[in-house]
Amino acid sequence: MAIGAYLAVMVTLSRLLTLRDKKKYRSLKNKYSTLVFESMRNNEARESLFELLRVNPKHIPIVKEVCSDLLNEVGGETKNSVIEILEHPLIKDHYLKYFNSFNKKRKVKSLLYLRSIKTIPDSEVSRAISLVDHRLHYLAHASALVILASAKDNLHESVLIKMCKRSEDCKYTVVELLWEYWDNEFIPKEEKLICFQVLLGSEDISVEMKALLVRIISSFNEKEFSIYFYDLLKFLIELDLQKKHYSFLAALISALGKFDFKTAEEEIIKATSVDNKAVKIAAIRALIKFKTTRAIQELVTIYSTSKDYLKKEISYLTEHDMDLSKTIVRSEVSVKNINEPE
Amino acid sequence: MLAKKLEINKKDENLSSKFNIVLIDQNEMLLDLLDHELTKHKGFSVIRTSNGVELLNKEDLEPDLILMDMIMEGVNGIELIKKIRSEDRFAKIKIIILSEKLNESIVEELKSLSVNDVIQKPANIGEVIFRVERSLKHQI
Repeated sequence: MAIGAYLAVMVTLSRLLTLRDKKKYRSLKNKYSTLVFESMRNNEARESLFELLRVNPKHIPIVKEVCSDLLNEVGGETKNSVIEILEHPLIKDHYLKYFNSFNKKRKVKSLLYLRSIKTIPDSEVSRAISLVDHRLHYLAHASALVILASAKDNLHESVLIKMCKRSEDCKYTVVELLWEYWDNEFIPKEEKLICFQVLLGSEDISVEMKALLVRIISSFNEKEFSIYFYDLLKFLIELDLQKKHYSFLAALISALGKFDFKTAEEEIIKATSVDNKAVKIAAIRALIKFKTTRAIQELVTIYSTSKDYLKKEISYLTEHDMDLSKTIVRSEVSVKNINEPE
Repeated sequence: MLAKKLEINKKDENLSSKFNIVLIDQNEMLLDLLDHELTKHKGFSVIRTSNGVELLNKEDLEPDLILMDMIMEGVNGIELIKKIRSEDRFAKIKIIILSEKLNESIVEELKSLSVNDVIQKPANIGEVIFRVERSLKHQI
């Protein structure tokens, strides 16, 4: 009975303390938010913000959090002002000190700070590169993010290849890395296109990973990739390599369909005969997107001659397009009539 | 409303205090920043929410402008604009979209719903404030 009462008091007390801390943190965050907003407008406010941080260095992470939250949402001059605040020596020294720490949590905090300001001090570059090879994936990932967000363009390609190779067991972490690189404002688009071509042509990266890379790259909505995707598709089809590369082939066809790249129509029609469900479905989707006479003709043939799942796929994909749906089904009836014996 | 407009024509610097702005965004920090800029530096009256449905449920609310994201709790941005436009009290309200998820077809759809301005995130806050003021000036 006494133990029960004691436990109940302790639980209530700890909850009250947590609530009190949360409330205190919220009010501090509000206070610093206002100071950060004012600092973006005038230097006096900025001075008083840093004066306050000098007296209370424990509050530096709160300012960092406010600034990081803002960076996700703002751009242009506002973004530059936020980065200026983050780059103040008081905040920078605080996080660079963490970079040398043995404590891994602190190291990650430091890396995430460097990612926010999109800079690696020259003295820390070699350490950041060595962290990409660290046995702990989260440290390698954080370090790769920092490098990819920075202007160190001579490192980007090798870091991406390394991370693609080591991320086979957790492929989807690559999504964040590729987006970080794509959003890097220091690197011209042409350079990024070349880097992606190198990744897709690299023999060190598995076919499954390449399929994922194509899916991520196509989500950047940059139509200039279509020509390179088309070249890869032609290469796979002409050399009869599709058997080993089903997922890669399906991803390329999906991307070309998404970009409405009709030049690839002939190769995509050839791909409908590849003996793989994912490839066939990707090809059907692309042909439905193209809607050219040749594409519709091919869809009619597939609808009238192939397996149930392909028929279902065509019906499902054309259900919002009555004209296309009618054309395919009506043509199928006429094809059947011709074939039926008199 | 007419009296409000005439007063503004007389003295332009009082423009801000005459208008109510509703901010809808899920990012608390962005709401804080916009609220701070619009109220403290521009003198607008601001109501903020992360949920567009709340706006429709407040019957006494008569904002002059809504600055909203397309993504929010409970309802999709396009649906919310349709609902706003279908209510008489909101018929002439100015709507500015501040969103990341924008493409040509969405912008076309937004135009067809008489949205006054569309701003891509991440945005420069100075530009957002400028566009808010411009939209409200056109209302006069």
